[in-house]
Amino acid sequence: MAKHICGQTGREFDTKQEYLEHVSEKTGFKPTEIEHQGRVGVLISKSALRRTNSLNEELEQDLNDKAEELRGLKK
Amino acid sequence: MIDIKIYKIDGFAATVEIDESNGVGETVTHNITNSNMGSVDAANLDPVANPVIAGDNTFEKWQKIDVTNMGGSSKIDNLKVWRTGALGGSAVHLTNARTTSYGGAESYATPIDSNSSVATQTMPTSEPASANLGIGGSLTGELTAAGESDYLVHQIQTDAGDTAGSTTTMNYQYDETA
Repeated sequence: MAKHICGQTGREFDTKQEYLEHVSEKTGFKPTEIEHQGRVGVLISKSALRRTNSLNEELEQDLNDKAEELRGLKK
Repeated sequence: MIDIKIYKIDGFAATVEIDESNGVGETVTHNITNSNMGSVDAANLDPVANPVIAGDNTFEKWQKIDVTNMGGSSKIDNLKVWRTGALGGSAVHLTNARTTSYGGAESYATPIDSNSSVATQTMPTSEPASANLGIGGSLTGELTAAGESDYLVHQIQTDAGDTAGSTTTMNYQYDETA
């Protein structure tokens, strides 16, 4: 069975599920929460949504607000 | 005045990370911070401490695009990988990623620094016109729930006359549908 390591902190987990459910000591969020990827992660998602014409005004504003909220937070 | 922002209860966009597998028996390092390539089989390696001698190969990289949460989105697809920036000398960067004659999903094998039998096509140096990394073994595959891409396998093979010190960028791209 594969061993799982958090690339940000080096913490080890026995299963992927355990990794996904932990709260990162570095980010304060779980790997399943977009905040875990920081502002850059939000902007990457925004670009990915734009490529499929999925970025309506409301969603873009939500993502902009989230990116702004994460500005300055250390990933 | 208190500014309150209400987000959709299931989130609003997917959360995606890049994972790398190493070693015998596979150790998965999640959310890697770099794709440095060198003379050891390790994630987030230090290329100064683990340089490739001119004429040698780097260890293969076995990586995946991992969607840990779809958020409010319905689909992730159209995976593309490419490198920007020149390698030193006549080194070549080879991969299993390709837009045609895709070989399907690879099964993990311990990364090697001899010539890769999986990474055999030149890594694109600009964005491919279409997907070159599969999901579920197919370039037209898609994720509608949390899950992973096929393995991206790549390796740099250097020549004895190559110069040290080149720095390039790996690009990993996906499309997301709300």
